[in-house]
Amino acid sequence: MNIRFQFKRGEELKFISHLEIMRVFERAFKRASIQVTHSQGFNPRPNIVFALPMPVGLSSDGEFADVELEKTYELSDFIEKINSHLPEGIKVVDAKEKTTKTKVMGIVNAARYRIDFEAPKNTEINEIISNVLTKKKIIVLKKTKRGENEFDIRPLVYELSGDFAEGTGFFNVLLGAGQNDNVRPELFIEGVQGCIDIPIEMLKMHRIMLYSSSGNLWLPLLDKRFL
Amino acid sequence: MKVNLSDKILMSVEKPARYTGGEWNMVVKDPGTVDIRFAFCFPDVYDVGMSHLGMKILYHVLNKRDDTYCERVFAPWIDMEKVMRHENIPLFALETKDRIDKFDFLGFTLQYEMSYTNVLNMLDLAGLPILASERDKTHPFVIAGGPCACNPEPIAEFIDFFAIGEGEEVILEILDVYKEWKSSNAERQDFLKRVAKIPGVYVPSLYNVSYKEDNTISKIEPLHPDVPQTVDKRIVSDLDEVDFPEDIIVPFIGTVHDRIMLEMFRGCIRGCRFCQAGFIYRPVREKSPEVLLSQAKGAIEKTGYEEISLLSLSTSDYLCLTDFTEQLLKLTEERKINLSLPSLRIDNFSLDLMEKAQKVRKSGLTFAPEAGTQRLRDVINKGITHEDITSSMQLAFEGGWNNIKLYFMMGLPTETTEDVEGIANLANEIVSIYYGTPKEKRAKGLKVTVSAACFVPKPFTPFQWFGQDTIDKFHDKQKILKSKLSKASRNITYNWHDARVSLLEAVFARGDRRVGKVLLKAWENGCKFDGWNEYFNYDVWMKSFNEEGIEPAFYANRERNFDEVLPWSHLNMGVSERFLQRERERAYKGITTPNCRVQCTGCGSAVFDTGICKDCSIGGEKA
Repeated sequence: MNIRFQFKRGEELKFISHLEIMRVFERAFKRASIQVTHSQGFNPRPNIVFALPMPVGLSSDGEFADVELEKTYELSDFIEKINSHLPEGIKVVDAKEKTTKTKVMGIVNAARYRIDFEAPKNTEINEIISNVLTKKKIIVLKKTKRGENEFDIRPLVYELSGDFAEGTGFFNVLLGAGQNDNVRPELFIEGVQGCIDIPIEMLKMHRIMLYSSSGNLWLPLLDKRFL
Repeated sequence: MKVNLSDKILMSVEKPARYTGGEWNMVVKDPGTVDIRFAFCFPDVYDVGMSHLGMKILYHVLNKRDDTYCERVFAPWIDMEKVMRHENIPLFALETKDRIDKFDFLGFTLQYEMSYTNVLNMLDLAGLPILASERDKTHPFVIAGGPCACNPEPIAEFIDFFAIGEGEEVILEILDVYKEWKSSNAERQDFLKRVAKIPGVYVPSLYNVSYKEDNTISKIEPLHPDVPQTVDKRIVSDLDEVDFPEDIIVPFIGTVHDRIMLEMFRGCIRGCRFCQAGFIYRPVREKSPEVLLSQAKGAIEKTGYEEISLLSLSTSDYLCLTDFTEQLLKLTEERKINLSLPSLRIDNFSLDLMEKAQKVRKSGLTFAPEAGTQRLRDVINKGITHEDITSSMQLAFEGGWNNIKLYFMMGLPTETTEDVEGIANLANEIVSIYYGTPKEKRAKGLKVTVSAACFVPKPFTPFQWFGQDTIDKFHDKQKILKSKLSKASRNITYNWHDARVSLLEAVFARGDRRVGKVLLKAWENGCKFDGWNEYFNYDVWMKSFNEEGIEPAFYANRERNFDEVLPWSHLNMGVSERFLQRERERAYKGITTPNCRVQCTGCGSAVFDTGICKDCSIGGEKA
């Protein structure tokens, strides 16, 4: 049976890396005696794949993963079982059976973030937002295996709003995400910094949801159209 | 009181999960409901400390008590310490993030001499006076145990008291006495006197050490009549009965030994004369296969770990090994769990077992001849012959292993140039055994790694009187071996140890109370994480010795007489001095001693009347 599930990770667990999150799930499945199928070959790996890596420091309400199980489960049983074997700070919130062959990491193409930041008290949030949105290009340096490349993130800033008071504020931003054209929150902040003269410092980053597009809609990855 | 670890701080350091806790199986209690708060302190970074079985055992044993909350504390890595000192964040416990300076106990485990500066650094980070004599009623008691506690003198000034031997029973008795004391509202000193009466507890401030003109010890005597003259180590009599944790903490970040460790037995029958563990953990006490299998199953189910490792000083010596591993393999195969099998002697059985256990590609094979010639192997009572080595290598190559790691020591007693060259000769012989193996049987590409450590003489071994080679001598020997090996096969890689670290290990392994001053000075001069190459600073150490007017050679390189009062002579680890002297004399004559199963050597451990000594007809001498 193939299941796609949505999970969240809270403040408690946001300092562990993506690789470690994968291991948290592998071990939780073992503890819960939910048998996951394994890949063939020299070094068999459990068949669990994640939608998008979570950088260290990111909390999230909208993460997704696909898992292939040896047996069939009632979805509510599955959720209850795995949750009772996951550490505090990580929780499966929904699960659906998946019948298509598409893998979850192949369909992600946007992510909504709430990014908290610090800036001088007289900062005007609307000015920043319009400044960013009226730019034709926002060039940042993206690290790749071969070094640093210039990368225009403006086409990948789909929506931007925010609020600011008393020296702190936040952006609510929908950014391009996925295997291609991924804009991490740090890169976005770097881009914003390039558009304005005042210094801003990121305080927290939180992923609200991962989406895939269908027609002209952004839909969460558990939408039946993707299953 | 919780410390404030902001996102900004955590995001600025390497591996922030070292400091955030919350792992699966972490014990959560309301600190308000317990009488005793215990900070188990490991004087190294999280990734190292979380690999340590002793901590898992004591964490479990302590937290089983409703009146006690045991939490973990590790040495913050260099980057985190910098932030903590800058932001005035004191050392805190991982479970509650509470600062530990108001806890009831700080318990350090002493696994390695080179972690001593970290002990001092952690006391300082916690906000405690470094010297035990400067602590008062508002401070926790700082206690310590572990293998290095069998000569606690170098850190005696910093620790209120030590638990000698195995800790899981004595720690509970200590807590009981503590509760009584706490409710009696008596002085700090009063608790130390009370606790000194518990067998296995050593309170250094209750003993006076006097010295002769030649700087050797003249006397070690208790300051009060009711303080014991010698402190006997504690052991657990029945390992099947003692609590063993199945619900061990599963770290998020990778640790050095990131797997279930199944302790098969304590002690070792072999009696290798250089090996401290082989003497101080006597007598050999095995767990029954039934108990082991049930603990393995429990731990697998409660942790979700993908690997389990057998733990003992010599896996091959477990009595029911064949039956036990057969059943264990069944258990692990069903659950797709890796079984790792360290310290196995190489023979048909073990190679076959390793092949079954490791579904994945054949990893390296580790083998420890320890010395290059048979003469020297007999001196150290290694218990293997040249024929054993060549035939097991032959078997390994025929079985398709091609990555061999060989461990040796340099500077063993009676070592000559011939013995040093013998290491190269043996490595060469192993290479030719590989090329002599039919091509269709052997795997392609031979890799032989020769590692040669510098021998550090340890207390409670037959070599405790031995003067360690000087750094120059080690360097000469390393040069000889290096040149011999460089002319040899390209398949051989040579790794050597920093002789300067080994010198310090020797000083602190066999030092007396006076070397504590050097330790304090070195820490004040910035030494910490001395076990980490990148932070070990020999020059600062030598400067610190100089400033304190203490000669490292006196402790490391000086040969002692049998009649010298050794700094640990008031502690009894179960092996008698007479036995150690006998063994040392046999060593120098090249006479081997049979293992405990073949013949009792009368080491003195028969007084424990348990394990392999239980039905010993010879009985040995009572220590």
